Amino acid sequence: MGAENTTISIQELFMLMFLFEIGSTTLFALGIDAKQDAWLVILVALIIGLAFIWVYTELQRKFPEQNYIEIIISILGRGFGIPLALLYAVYWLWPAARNLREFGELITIVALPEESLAAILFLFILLSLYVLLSGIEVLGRTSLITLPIILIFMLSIFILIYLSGVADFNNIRPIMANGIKPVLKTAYPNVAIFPFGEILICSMFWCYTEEEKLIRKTAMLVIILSGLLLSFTLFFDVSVLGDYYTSVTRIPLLRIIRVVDVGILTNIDIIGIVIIFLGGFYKMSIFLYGVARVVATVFNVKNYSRLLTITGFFLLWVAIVFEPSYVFHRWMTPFDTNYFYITFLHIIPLLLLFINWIKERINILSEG
Amino acid sequence: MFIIQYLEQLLEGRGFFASFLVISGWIYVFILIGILIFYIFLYFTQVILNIIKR
Repeated sequence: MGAENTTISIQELFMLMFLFEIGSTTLFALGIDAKQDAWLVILVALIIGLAFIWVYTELQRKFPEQNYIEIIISILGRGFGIPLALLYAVYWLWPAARNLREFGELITIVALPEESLAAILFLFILLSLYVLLSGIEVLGRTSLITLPIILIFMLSIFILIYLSGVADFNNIRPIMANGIKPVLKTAYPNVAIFPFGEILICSMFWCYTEEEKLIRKTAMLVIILSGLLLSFTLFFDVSVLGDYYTSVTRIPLLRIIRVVDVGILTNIDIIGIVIIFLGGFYKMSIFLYGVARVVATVFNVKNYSRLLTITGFFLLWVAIVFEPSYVFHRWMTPFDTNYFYITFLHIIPLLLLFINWIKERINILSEG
Repeated sequence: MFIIQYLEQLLEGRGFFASFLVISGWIYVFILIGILIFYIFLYFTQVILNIIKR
């Protein structure tokens, strides 16, 4: 389906972005370098994330009919714009492949240890392609069903953990025992970029919503609510496991779910797995859509369905070959945010906004 | 060269994909800074031209 016919309601946009933000973040103990203050790290990163939402939506406000790649070409011209656009396609392939790989690894760890990784990833990409080939608006409509399920599951987990009496809130104290420095150091760039900065990919479909004036408010609301949810998750992770076990546990959310014991309600791991899978599915699908849309925009591809399918299978190949193991995958986590997520998600959009602002001033001066 | 040594140390074992993204991302940041400086220069030239015209 071509992008020309696509429209997304503001509710669908909200739910898609919210699911994207939850995404794979439940897999990691974000901000755990600040130990028991990890939940505070999320709140600080949330504020930085909001500042960058202003930057992204300001670019969109200047060019309401265009996606992020068209905005880049409008600001820089084709000579400088197209190479940067292609770099974005390559860059977004990285988090897409990592997400896909993460969920393949997760299935092999928790459910199908004997199964081949390639077969699991193949089924995952097929499902994603099936939805995306119907259009991004279909993915948006499915999110209307999925997000309430995830939120109900998350709230049930918090309530059940509290009722189990396993949460020791003394694990959270003392708050900021080593001052605010470790909190700030962990919040930027790590958590401010992953997950809050990654929302830039959503600017590939912001132009499809009819209520463009609500994009900024919606994106900010998403960042605030998802940030609070993540902070709450970290709060429970640390209060149940303590900061040391939260940092060494492979998937902290699954670990805290395993300790739930309220009457007949035990062994409810499946709830955690459903949350992680649905979040990961949406995140990976949005990245895949973004990569294909960049290529379609740059090369003006008419047959988008074929391009999306080719991109999907290319992503599958990349996800299998680009990382030798899950240990390597975890080793890359702070490196990528510190050294190249920061350029593509923070520095380049900020520079584009400055360049566009000065170009506008020059036009005003030359006309006056 | 200090930069080459630093990059070698930084990117050791990270693989081609990650190394490419680090290097190309930062190269483009410098290109954009160059473009920004160019436009700032153009802006001040325009300001001076407007003053002269008056």
